[in-house]
Amino acid sequence: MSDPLLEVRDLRVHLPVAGGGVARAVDGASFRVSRGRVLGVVGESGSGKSVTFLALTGLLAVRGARVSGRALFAGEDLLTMAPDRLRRLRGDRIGMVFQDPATALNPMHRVGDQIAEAVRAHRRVGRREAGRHAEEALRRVGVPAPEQRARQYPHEFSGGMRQRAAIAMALAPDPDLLIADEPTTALDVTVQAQILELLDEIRRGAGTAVVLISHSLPTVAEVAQDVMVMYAGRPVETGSCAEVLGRPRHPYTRALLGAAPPADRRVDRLQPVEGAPPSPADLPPGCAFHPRCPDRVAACTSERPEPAGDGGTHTWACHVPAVAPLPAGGRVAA
Amino acid sequence: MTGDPSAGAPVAPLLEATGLTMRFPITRGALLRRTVGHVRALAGVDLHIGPGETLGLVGESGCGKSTAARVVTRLLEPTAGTVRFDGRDVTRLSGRRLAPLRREMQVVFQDPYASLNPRRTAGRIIAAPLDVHRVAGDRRGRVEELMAQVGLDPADHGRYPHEFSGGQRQRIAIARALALRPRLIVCDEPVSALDVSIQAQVLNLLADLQRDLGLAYLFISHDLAVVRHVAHRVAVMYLGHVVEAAPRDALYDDPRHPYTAALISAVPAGAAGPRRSRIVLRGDVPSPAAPPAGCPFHPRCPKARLVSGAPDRVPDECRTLPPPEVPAGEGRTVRCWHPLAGDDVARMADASVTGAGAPALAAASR
Repeated sequence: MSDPLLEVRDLRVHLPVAGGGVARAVDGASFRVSRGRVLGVVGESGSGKSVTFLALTGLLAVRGARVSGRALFAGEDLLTMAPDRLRRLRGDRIGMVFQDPATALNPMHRVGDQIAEAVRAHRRVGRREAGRHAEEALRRVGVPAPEQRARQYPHEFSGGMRQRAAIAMALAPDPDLLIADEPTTALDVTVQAQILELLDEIRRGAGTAVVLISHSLPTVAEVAQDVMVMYAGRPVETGSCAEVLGRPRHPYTRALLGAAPPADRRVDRLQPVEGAPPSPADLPPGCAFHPRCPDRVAACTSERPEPAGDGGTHTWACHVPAVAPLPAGGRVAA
Repeated sequence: MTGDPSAGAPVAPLLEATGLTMRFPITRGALLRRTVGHVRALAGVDLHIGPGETLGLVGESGCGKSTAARVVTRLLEPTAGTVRFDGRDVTRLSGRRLAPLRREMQVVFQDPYASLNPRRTAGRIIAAPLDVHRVAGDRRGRVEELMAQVGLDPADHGRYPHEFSGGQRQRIAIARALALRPRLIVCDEPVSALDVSIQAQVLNLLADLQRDLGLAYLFISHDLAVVRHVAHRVAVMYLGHVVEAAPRDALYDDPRHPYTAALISAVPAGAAGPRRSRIVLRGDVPSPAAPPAGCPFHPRCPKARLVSGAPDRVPDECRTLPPPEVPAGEGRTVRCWHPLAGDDVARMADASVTGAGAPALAAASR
């Protein structure tokens, strides 16, 4: 995890709730994103994984939201930066891709023109030069016949091609960081595999730092070097992919691994996590996972566990971290 | 799930669909609507499900799996083909004559937010099928029994859908489906909208209900890992065709259709270990309004390119003639001119690294 491009310390995002009260959507998140690596951010709905990155990029469109902490991007704090400066950074040095590529593309304009516009917003180049950049960007993400495709409209693209075009647009200005929020969730399995391959190539080829936000641990494991598992607004376990998936310490990480049917073999019975995730407006005291945790002790109900680690990159926030590695095959014993 | 009904002596199928074809007209014009073409959602589909058996139906969006579900449950009438339930032809039944079939066959949909009426209490939602079919008896007692059966607290019968979590809402939908004591439940992506930790709760519940009530399931999903977990047999669909159908383990351990192999290899394994070799298909699924000639899979097929020996050539038979359905032993069929054999899977994976995807990837790494 050398050379952090983005270093976030104790990020908190508190949102007002109708009828009073506060939703602690992000409640103390610290992590790093490094050049040339993919950080997979995993969590269920409401875990704060998307809100974290919307807050960092100034895109959180919620009235009365309170954001605190520090977020150093190449030495500058994103959270105290002038809105103008942040807007220029976004798109230029930070590219973003979302789940539904249709929302990123304007249906009324040709795909090539939209990418060219993204280039011209950040580079002083002529119209024709920007058009060439756009075709090159489409070629780079594997769109066949980019010269013709650039002249087409979004509705003439299939779902997979549209997501490629959205990625091409995000990559056109050569950003240092690409944030991809569930980029494959709306796509078919075989097309998902293509997009994951593409993210891997982007990281390896241009050394771009990539954040891959997903509800699926297996998806993240396909391409990520680093993993952060979030629950109720906090990272509960972070580390390299091998550490977090191979030797998970947090009971929630272990529970996630046991709850999903494995792809490569059959098990007789899944081990669900009982109950449901808490509402960010009504977090339990102590560790937010304690009501669902099979390993909880008295301290879990009253004291919030602070992140602890092995001295290296692997950290976890738990009073009773598991010590035994997962049994062969990577599944938690019943 | 428990046991394997498909392994025993052959039993008469509970549901049998033969040659199902479904064509939807594409129309233009507001005043004088005219038909300008057809979407062929089903192109001759055969399916059968035994009592107490789970048939997994997998495929990508637009492959026709949801249309197949709507036709076998007779929410749609097929353009051609027959649907038999318990030996009886139900293909052309309509109106009141469908009522007995509805009692035997129920549906659970993907989105429990959309499929439950927000203005009705859980108890009334679950009792609705009993009202529609005028089932006599202790309504309140039956509702409480159903709620307990699906793991809900019967005391919550007066609550509204928004007061339940996503997983609990899907339990309400399942309780409603069980109300008439059906023999077959069609589950159309029943866990796709649920969080991972909740998915397992619902999948375990479906397994328990099958064991206790002897239910048969037609389980439709795009998630191959989930289907591997629940199904006894699996049918793989592509552009309106069942391209391969086989007992679960045979299909996953030894796929014979190139598309099945590609689908399986595309599933994230979720282990931190070495990545499996993956077959990356070129392009997307073609539109069912303009399906390719010959084998519907030939424009993307890696095996056809191995056979021809060139990444841009496909054998003539694949390009021009619909492939035959080949029996491939142990209750499986494959619809392919060149079913997989030997080390084809590994060779297709190698080819997709050095062949199909290569130009794009090479450009990206510059």
